[in-house]
Amino acid sequence: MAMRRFSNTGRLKAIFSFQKLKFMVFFPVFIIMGFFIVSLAMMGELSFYRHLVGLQIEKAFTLENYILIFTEPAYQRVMIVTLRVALLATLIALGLGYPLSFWIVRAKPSKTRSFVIVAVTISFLISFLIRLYSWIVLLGYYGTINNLFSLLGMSRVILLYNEAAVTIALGQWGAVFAVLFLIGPLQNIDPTLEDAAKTLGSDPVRTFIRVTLPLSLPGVIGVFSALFAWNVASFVTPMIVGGGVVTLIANFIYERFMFTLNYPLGAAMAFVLLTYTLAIWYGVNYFTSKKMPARLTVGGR
Amino acid sequence: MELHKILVKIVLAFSVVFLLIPLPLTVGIVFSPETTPTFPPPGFSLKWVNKFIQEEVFINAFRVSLILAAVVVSISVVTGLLTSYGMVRYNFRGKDFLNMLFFMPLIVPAVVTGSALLFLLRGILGIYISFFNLTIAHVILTIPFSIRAIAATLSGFDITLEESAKVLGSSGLRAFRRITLPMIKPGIIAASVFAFVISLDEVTASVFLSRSDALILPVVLLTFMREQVDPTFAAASIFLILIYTILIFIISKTIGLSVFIGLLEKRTR
Repeated sequence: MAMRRFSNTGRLKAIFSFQKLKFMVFFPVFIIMGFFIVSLAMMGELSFYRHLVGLQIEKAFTLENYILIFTEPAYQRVMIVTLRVALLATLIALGLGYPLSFWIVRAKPSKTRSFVIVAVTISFLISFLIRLYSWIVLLGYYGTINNLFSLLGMSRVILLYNEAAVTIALGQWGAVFAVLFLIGPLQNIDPTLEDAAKTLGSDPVRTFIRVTLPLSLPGVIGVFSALFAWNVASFVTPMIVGGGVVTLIANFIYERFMFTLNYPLGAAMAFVLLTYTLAIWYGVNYFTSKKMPARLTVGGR
Repeated sequence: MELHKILVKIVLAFSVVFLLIPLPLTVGIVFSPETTPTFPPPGFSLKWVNKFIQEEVFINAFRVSLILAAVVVSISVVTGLLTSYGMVRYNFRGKDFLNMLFFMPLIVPAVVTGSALLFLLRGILGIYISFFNLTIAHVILTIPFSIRAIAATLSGFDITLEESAKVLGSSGLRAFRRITLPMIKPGIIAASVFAFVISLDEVTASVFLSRSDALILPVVLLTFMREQVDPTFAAASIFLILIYTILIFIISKTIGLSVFIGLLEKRTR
């Protein structure tokens, strides 16, 4: 009897402490997220400081970094070029990724189809830097395309280190992404709807424009916003393919933090970039579906 | 054949070629005897692969990168497992907020995360151990994937199985180890692969934090790529492709490529 009572209270105690302790599962993630959030908050504070010389900063509260970014023509240009490159690259990615993804979803299983799926997966996993290096090989002064030109008797041209090259390189990466992430939304479209349209006398092109495309639009918009947001923040591609000639926002931030050591200006630009990214990521989805996309959430479904 | 079908075929062929350009190009360069990268390669040689193996900078960076990736994978997966367990099994207020918070490292540009961590860790806290700083950065960047992949398998798993094990006298921890863990294995494998690949490939945030005491492979590759002395660094691609092939093989043997792609959903560069 005494034993049982003892074990009961023991169990009660265990349950009670478990109730309190069970949220300890979040302890590690809070430490990690703590570093993340605190560092961002510190950056926010830093962006209002005044840069003196070298690493010296004055702990003032000034908006001059932000004013400089939006009034200085050279800095304005960095932002305009970034948005232009990012938007064009996103459109290229969707334009090439959509048809291929659609084909993967609708084609009958075959060797070609399996090959394309495996090849896309591999090029998705392949190192980002290696992917970039191939553009130098392809577009460089002694690259494949220029070799072809000289074989045909034309003079060599500089294809790298310009906005177009950066846009194409970003578009290629985005296309791989788009193919993989459009498969899901395209698979959800009921093919019988297309059949119905065709039976009712619609031609394939019209069926695609009036039935398939509108049905896949939510997925397309999701991929568009993700790609656009990531392209706006692209850093390595302009550095390598743009060769220091094409400076995007991320490269600007890098230069402030690593070379000119104007931390406050870099921090301010980082927050401008963060604002753009959040606006694209949430804004596009908000104005099209009026609610947060469900796939952004984890668990508890 | 109708005109539009031919047109569709041309568009498809073009996108396949465009998508797959990088692979043959880099492999060709690595085995080319020329110093200036040309494709198609004029001959075959293992010159650059040899030089890569003998160059201490690369091998050291490769070693540091692999150790870092291993550390990041263990921290990220354990944290991801605990977090997704809490997110899937417990009901509490502020869950939606936590969901959004855990997703943030994916949305915040890596260049912002990198520079912010540089300022916090080196500037304010005065931590000059690059390996530690890189670990923090990589765990932050991989945690959204770990949580997502594990939570996806955990929420699809029938909780009554675990409960019946407990009813039949198994302790909570034992039930978790014997029933739940094997069931969510696909999520854990996918999370490990994500974390490993991201850690091995992460340049943007790392370039702020990786200094001479812990230079990692992507940062070294980036430096050499900018200098463009010779294609030695490109030989790294051979080793990386080898690692990726092994990973793809592991995935297809354990959980299947299609499950992996389903769990993938979102990945950043």
